[in-house]
Amino acid sequence: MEHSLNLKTPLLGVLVMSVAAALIFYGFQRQLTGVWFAVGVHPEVLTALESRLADQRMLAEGDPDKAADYRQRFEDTGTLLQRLRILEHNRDLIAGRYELLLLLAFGGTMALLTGASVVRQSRREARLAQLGVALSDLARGRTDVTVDDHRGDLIGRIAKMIERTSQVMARDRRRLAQMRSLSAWQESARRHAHEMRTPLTGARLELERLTSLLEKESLRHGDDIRQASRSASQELERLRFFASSFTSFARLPRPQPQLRDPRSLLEEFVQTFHSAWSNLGLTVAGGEDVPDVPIDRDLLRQVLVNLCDNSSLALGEHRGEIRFELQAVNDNVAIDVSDDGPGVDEAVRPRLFEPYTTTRGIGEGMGLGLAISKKILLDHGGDLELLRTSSAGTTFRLTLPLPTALPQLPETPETEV
Amino acid sequence: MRRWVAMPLILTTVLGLAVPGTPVYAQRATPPPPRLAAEPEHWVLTALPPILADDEVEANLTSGLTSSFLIQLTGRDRDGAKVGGGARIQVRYELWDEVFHVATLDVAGRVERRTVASFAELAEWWRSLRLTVLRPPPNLPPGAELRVTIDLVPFSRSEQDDAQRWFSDSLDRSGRSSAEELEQSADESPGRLTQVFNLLMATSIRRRAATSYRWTLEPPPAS
Repeated sequence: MEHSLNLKTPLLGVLVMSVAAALIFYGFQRQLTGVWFAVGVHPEVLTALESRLADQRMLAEGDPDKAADYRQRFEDTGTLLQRLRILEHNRDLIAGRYELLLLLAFGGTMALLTGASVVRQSRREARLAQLGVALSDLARGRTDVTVDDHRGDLIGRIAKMIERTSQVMARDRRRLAQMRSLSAWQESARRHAHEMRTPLTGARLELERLTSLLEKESLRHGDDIRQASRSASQELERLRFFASSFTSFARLPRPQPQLRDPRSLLEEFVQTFHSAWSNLGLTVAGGEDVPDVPIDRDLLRQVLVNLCDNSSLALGEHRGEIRFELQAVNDNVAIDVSDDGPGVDEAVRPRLFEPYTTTRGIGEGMGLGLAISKKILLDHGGDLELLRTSSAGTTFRLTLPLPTALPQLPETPETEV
Repeated sequence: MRRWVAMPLILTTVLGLAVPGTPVYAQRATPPPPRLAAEPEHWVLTALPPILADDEVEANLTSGLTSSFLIQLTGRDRDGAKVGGGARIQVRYELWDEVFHVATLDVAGRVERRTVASFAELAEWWRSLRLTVLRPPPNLPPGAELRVTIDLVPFSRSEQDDAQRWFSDSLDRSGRSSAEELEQSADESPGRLTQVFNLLMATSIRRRAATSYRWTLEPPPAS
């Protein structure tokens, strides 16, 4: 970026101020110096001292006993008179030196001030140039913009805002990409459900008719055929369950958030679901002073149920605890959901929130719970992240933005089927 | 007025005010020049002009300070090299005894001292002075001129030092109004910056000529 240091204005300002101040100062000071000198070496003073000399001599002549004292006074007065005469002789030099020293002191001070002003201005210009570069990067769409300026003044605050904007842009882009991905998965699920539902319905009707015929006819190997019919019916029921799961994922409703106290919601959830999972204990911690945030109560419950389901299944026969911890983080309210289970399999972590990601066996789950939960939080303007996981437990963080911090996200694709 | 015209004007005004004034000596009629006479080994200045009658000179001579007449002769020889000589006359008026203590120092290094009882006697002595001022320069060009200067310096170096000390002490005590404060200030040492300021101020007291006389003389005919 082209950048030139603009020092003309401050320098001119300092120069004009200096000249004006110097003129005023010098004028007054000169008057003052002149007055004091005029008083100090006034001719009447010198004349008075000369008279005193004459008096001392006369006194000494009149009182010989004290002649020595008068002589001493005479000498002292004579010395003072001589010193004053030397001062008078050098009057213009002394005044000139005094004024020169004052001028030098004044000039030195002004030079220091000017130098400080120039340095300050050049630093400010450099910092502004740095801001300009950062803003250009931001305008070009870079989301990793950093400004090495963390002072508390206006420029420092602007630098912080630029960095924050960059971070928000990065987060929004990430969320947008995740939402698009999930929306694509939703569309895929909708098509699968649609394609499965028609033949599934037909097959079920045919199987029911076959079963009905078998009831009426006494056939050889009838028992075997009935057994096969029941098995087919069970498989069709599983297919219906899968189709239903696809449909629930595809038809995920858009949140209808209302401003609510998140801690009250969590306490209500714990109270309602305290016995829902036989191997889990639920507790709420913190968040007494977190502000209200826009939440769709039912969808949040769905997210919490999904997380508790996962924890409960991961614990298996063991008993564990789930702790909901609330805190304010920047412009968000964070709900950390921690369990003391075995942790998330490392191989699954990178695509944990993608649909159909599961560690369970075939037919034991669709792997849609976390994807649905993520989508719900993204639709709230927040996020769901895996905060940490280890063999000692796992923590998911639900982020819900404060009303003032809600980002302006582009319209999400329609999720209705 | 345009800025580029106004600014230099202001600066010039400031600088003009800032530069300390150059001492201006009183303009007076130049007294007749002294005479330069040639002696076997030296040139001698005689018939010193009656400058003691000058009011300013008389005032300085009777001030009680040690006044010095600095006599200088300068010229150039055939090679353009500087030739010069001079002498010094010191006069100190003793205020109590009302006598003049005088001393002369010539170019040969001779010092003569005497005490003169009155100003009239001093003037008489002044007129009778024969001061050895120069060894005859070996190669003065024909028509060469010698410049003769008599500067009256109104006080001696020791009197200058005394006045500087006294002035510096006075500056240290400036701003103390009461006698108690003045007494106290005598025991306190001023700050370093103040000391520098006082030193710079005190050293502005210098021995410089109160009056100067200048003539141009021709070299004396060889003796």
